[in-house]
Amino acid sequence: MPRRPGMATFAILKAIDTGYRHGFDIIDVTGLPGGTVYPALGRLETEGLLQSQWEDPRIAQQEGRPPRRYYEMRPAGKRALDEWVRQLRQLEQLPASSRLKARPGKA
Amino acid sequence: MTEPILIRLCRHAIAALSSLAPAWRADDVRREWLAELHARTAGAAGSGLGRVAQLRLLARCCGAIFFVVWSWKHEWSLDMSTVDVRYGLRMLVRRPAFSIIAIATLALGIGATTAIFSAVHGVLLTPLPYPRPDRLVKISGVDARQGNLALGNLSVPDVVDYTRLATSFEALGAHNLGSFVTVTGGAEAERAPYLLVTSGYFRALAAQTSLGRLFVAEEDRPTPPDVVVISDGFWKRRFGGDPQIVGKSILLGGQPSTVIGVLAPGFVHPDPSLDAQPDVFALLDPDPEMSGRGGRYVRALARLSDGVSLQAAEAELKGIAASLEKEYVKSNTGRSIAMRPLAREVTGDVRTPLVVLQAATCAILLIVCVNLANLLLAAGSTRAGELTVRRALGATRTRVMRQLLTESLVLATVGGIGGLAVAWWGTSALSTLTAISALHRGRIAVDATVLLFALGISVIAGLIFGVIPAAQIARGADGALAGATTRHTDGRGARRLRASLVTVEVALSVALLIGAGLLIRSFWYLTHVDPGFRTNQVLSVRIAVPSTRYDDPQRQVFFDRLYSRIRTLAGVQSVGAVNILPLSGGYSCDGFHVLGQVVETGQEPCAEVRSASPSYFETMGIDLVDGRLFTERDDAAAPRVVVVNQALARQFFSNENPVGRRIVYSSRRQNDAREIIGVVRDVRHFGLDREPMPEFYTPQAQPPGYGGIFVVIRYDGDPAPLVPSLRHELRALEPDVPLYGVRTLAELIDQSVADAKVRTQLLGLFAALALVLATLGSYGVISVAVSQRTREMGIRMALGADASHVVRLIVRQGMLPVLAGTVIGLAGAVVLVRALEGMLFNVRPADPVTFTLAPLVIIASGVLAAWLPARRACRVPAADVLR
Repeated sequence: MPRRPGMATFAILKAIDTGYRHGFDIIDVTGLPGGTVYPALGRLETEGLLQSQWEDPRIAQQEGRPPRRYYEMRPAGKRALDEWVRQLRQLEQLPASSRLKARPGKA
Repeated sequence: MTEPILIRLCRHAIAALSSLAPAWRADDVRREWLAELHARTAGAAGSGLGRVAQLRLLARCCGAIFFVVWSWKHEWSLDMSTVDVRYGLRMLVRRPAFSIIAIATLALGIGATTAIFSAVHGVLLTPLPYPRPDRLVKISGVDARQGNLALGNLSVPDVVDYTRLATSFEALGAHNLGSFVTVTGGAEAERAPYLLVTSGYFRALAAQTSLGRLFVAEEDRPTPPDVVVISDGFWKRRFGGDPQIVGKSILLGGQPSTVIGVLAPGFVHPDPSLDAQPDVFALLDPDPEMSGRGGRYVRALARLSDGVSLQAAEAELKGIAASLEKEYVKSNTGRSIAMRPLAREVTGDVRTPLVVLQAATCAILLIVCVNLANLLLAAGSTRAGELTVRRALGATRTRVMRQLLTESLVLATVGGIGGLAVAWWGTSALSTLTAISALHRGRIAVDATVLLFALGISVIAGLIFGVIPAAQIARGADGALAGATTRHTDGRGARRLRASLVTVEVALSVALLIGAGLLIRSFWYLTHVDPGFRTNQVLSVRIAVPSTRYDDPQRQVFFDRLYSRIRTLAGVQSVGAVNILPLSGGYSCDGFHVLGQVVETGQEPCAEVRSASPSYFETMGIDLVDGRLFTERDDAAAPRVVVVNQALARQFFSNENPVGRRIVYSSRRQNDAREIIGVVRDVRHFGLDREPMPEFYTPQAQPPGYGGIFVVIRYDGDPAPLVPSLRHELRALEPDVPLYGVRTLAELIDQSVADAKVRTQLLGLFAALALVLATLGSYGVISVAVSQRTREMGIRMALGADASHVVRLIVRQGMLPVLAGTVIGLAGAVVLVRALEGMLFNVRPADPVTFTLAPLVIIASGVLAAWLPARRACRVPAADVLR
């Protein structure tokens, strides 16, 4: 059953889209706990928004470290992210209420 | 450079947590997390990590557990629930006959176990409804003289001394055995359950009021104030929840008393022997002159002080009892106390029967599981083809096993749902039983814990009957995969497995049958005991005349007028009265001695004393053995006389005729010599299973007189129309005397054996169920074995074996596991029946009749189970088989 994606999901998608591709890097940049990020990565992969691959072991060997797993956007993930950004922009452009003073949004 | 310890811990955490993930994922998880950790800690970036950063990293690594949990959830939602469960449900529908039998037997097994558990949970496992109930103890009096009639009561002065001297308790209180009091004024006169207590009673139970206050220690004084505390229910029912009730006066037995408090809702009196929870609480009079140390009619309970053990408190009270024994030689010789946790005391009578019944239901559930395991094993050989194909297509053996187990769990869950329906019905039946005391009745219900229990045993049952067949069948599919024969006969292993399952269920049924047999025989003896009085066509009603309105002579006049009015009613043959009716729960144990016999001080015997009207014996059918009965002339002015029972005559006049001898009645109110004018037959006062006690009767018209009496009426025809006319006659004489406790003596007898009846019926039912299930089980196993050997039988018969030979062969082989089970069951029963010892009457636990009959029944049903399939096998024409 598809769930309504939450803020954490989009933070993770955005992080990967921006170029953070390893689990711990995503944890660092989003500030989310590892207990949230890893299950979310697993779920996004199952749902086909992301895919993961193992780094070429030869490169890792040359650098004297174990190969790392990296995550990449799939087209569906990119579309979901774009849609979310679009909705966010729409929200920003809500006309200010006459009673409440609108706060200027950050660009 | 050595690695910091925290980083090493990170590695260990990752290794440990990743190993918990589903097998196919575990390696990936470990590699990914270790690589990430390495990237953070190795090289220039890692060397400078501070302690705080390392700790943070460790916390992050421990977060892997969330991923493990998620991956399992994901895993299960992927195939366990969606594929296997749906497949399991389809299998249920595809094999309707098997499914119906399996679900019905599971529902019976799980339902019976859950229903009994709801009683076990409500009565034995739920703590008593008081704050810190583990600190509450019951203090019982111990007396060598009373022997097996351990009533455990104490005298009020003794309790006062214990309260004053003991230091082990936060509070110590006493209560009497409860009675009824007539409440008049305002609404109609009513008999309310009435309890006399000391102030420590409420303090020990940590009772709370919703209005007013409870008794205080200063009120425990001779001639205590006329103040009462009432129950929440009584306050709402009789006074409509009047918020101004505190300080108001109510009439109890004609005397005004002031209500000082209303108990908070939910307060219960912790004495299971009471028929009804008390509504009115008043103060016990602690005056030693009033009741004396010989009058033991109260029970004591206490709350231990913090840090004091039960043993220490008991030792202290025993010390005080010893000093009282020295001080009051006449009354206290041989008297001491015993202390037990209140919770044990309250559940004393029902604990063993409940545990036995719970064990019986567990045995039934186990038999059900064994039968289902056998059915699944048999079904498995027909499914070998399907499973082999699955294995060939790449399913692992674990995967096949998991699918089979899921099917079992689906079956168990559906059975469990059916079981809940059975349990719900069984629980409502159990909680209405008279055998369950008023204290526990409300606590037996299907609640969250019971639901959880039902779920738990359903899963356990599913595993029990699922694991062995799943492993066996999965292994069978392996064999087929390796190219073994495809013919659907089982190997020796499977046959042996099924035979041993039959052995298990037969052993369980033998043990259950023996237990039930013992109870049934015991119950038969119990209901065929002569109670000593006639039980047909006798009605008993209770009336209570207030002592404030009638003195002794007036009261006797009132009674005589009432009897003669009742005698004129249609259908009444005779009318008698007594102060304590047999089997009604009352007793006296008053001191006496035979004039002319030497009794050492403090060794004076006690007897049951009853005050009876002249026609009491005739009405009750208590036969005269020697001498004469009371007449109208044995009145207050006549010489004092008594009639004794045979037990007293035997014990105190072994070879002599007691008629004409004199006894001294030396209770707290009497001290005079009375002539024995007659001997009557023994009556079982304390229960059909209790031997009669020495007893003597005094004429109702001679002291001591009692205001509260049982009127017994022998009648013709139907007693129902009699009761309104009785009420009418009583009201015509005296409107404020209530009539209550209407019962026939047959009902009284039924009620006295209700406990024994219930447990006998339940265990009998369970044993019958076990017998049927075990017979069906061995029938099923032998049938399968025979159908697989039909070819062999055909060959044997074609070669000249006659039918009877083949039948004998099959029966002999089929009987082996049954006989083995019988022997094991007998051996187990020898040990297990000891638990029943306290419930048996006139039957020894090692009763030879039961121990012979039960195995015979099992063997006979085993022979039947083997003979039916054997006969069928012989009827198949040899040519058909060989073709």
